[in-house]
Amino acid sequence: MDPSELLRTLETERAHGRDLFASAASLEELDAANTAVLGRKSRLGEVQRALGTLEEARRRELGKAVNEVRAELAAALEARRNALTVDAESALLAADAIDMTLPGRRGPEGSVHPLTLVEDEIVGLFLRLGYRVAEGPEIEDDWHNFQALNIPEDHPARTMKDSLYVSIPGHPELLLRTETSAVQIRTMQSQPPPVYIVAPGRVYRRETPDATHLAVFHQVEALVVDEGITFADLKGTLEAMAQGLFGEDRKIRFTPSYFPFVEPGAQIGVTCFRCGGVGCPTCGNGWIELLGAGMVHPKVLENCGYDSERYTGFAFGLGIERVAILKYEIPDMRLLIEGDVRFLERFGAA
Amino acid sequence: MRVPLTWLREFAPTDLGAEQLAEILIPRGVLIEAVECPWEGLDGVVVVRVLEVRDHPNSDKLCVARIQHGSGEAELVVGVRNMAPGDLVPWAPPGARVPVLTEPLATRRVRGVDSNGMLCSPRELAISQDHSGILILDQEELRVGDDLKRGLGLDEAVFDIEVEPNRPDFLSVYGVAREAAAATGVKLVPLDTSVDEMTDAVADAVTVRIDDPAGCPRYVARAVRGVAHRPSPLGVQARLTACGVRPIDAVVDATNYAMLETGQPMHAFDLDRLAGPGIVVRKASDGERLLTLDDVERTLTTKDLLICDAEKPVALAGVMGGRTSEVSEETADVLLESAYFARSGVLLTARRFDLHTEASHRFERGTDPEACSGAAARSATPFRPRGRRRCSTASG
Repeated sequence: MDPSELLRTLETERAHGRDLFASAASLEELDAANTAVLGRKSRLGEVQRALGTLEEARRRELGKAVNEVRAELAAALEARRNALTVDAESALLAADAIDMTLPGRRGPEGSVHPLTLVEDEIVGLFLRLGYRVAEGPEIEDDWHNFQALNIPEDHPARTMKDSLYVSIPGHPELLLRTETSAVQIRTMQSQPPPVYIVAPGRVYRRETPDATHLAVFHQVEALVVDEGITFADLKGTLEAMAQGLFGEDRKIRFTPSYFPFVEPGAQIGVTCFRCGGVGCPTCGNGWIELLGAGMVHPKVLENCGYDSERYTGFAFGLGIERVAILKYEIPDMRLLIEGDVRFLERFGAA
Repeated sequence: MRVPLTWLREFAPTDLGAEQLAEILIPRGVLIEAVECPWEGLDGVVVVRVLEVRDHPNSDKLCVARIQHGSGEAELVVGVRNMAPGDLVPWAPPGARVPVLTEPLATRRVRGVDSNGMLCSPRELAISQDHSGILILDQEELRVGDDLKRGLGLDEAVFDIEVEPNRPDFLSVYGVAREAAAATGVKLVPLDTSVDEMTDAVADAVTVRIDDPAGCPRYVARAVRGVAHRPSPLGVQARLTACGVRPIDAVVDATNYAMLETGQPMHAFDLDRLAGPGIVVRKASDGERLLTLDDVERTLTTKDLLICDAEKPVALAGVMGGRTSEVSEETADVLLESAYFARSGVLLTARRFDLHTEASHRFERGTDPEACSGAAARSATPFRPRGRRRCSTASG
């Protein structure tokens, strides 16, 4: 080939290569075009090999032109390769795209347990009255659970309820608390008067569960200690609670009763919220016995370092399970702990 | 505690009915859980005299009794024949009702003989658990034609009272009567504690020594000579049964009756089986042994209080008596114990042995130290219509 023909071929290949690269629709086609345009057996390769037959000056001139064309085509190839790679990724992303408009699949919805409902209601009532929530450990020692509450070792009340003892080496006399009353002691030990607390919690007795008793159940305890607290304060507070829980028309009555940590002590009945107090299957004689209460025994105050001449107080405690079975007409207390979803669904999320 | 209303009325003579009285007492802390009528199912049973008992013509076991009732005679077939001509017995005529049967009695033919109603055992009348034979009635207490229910005072209610540990006074009929009298305004009738005393000095009969005055500040002993082992009067048996205590015989019943009445636990020893005879109240020594009435050999510690005679332990103080000095059918003379034992000691002993008795239940809640003497007198002369016994007293 003469030099002028080589130059023409060079120009043709420049245009041909650009077109081929630009028209490659995929990375595979681009690779094929690369081989055809820039490969050893391409026309450009032939031109390069023909350079050797030329004289010095022509060879230098043409070599320079070949290099320019090569560089230009290599750049075009690279540009196209980049473009095609981006396209391929976009295509891949497009193929894998999530349809954000599809509706989701719903899991089954839980509901608030009836015991939690009742506890929240009672605690909420007292929070609005300005009380604060207090808590204590479920494993108690003998002093907090009994002795500080005016139940010494030789007190007949110790046989009134059977306790569950916990065996931990090095810690004698530990038991699962039988009442939330121990929280009274822990609270008074940790702060000076005045005290206005409500203490919900789990308690344990050695008892065989039946329709109206559980071995593990819940209580809410309230304690007020301040100057000048009287039985009238207790009465007003309990009336407010009974009306808050069971409706505005409720009346309460006091029957003398005995708890070692209060004096005097009383059992509190509320007029039946179903029949209004005339008598029905829920209540029997019109009254529902709801809780135990009384004025804090001076010895209990003194056990916690309070001045029983200056401060007086009242305390009461009620069983959450008992309120729940009354309020929701649950025939058997054990239903509350069986975890049967059909039962729990009745108390759908409020 | 179960309190029959007739008994309560002996000390608090109120005219109020059971329900009215309960309504007054409950708000005062007498936690009456139920007003029961154990003899509700008893109606129309009358006292009759047995005229003749002859063999049933068609049976080896049955017999035919001819009886005289208030307005004539009747015949009936009976399964036992412990009654004899002349005896007074309870008869449920056709139409009458007894607690153990759901239907009223009727006239039936039993193996070819017309049988009119039935003669009743104590169990059939809910007077005691005795079902060994027909109840033979007391000739002095009742007459032919009397209504049995009225005649024995079985027509009243029984209060079932839940007693909280702070009111041990309600563990007695008299304690509940005291509250009832205060509540209704009637005058409380004092306990009659008069005793027909013997002339001999009691110190000759028995000595009492207290080595542990803290555990036993008071010990009253009464010697009763020549006791009779016969059933208690039916009214007494019925009251014991209504209170949930099994009638045994007049001696044992007297101690239980006095305890239910006064709240003071009593114990009866066979005086002849007490060495000395003397009583020593002392702490046990470690490892000392005592066979209690429930036939369990108890190993004692220095914390347990013992009642001993001159030689050996005879009772676990305030909890349970011992076998060796137990009253039996052969007992002629009895030593009655009426003591005050410290609450704490009885409670801890009873708890350690898991031995809870009517006595320990009362002692561990606290008895009245002033009641010892009166209760001893009550159980020494319990059943007045039957004639007094002769007694002498020693106390320490």
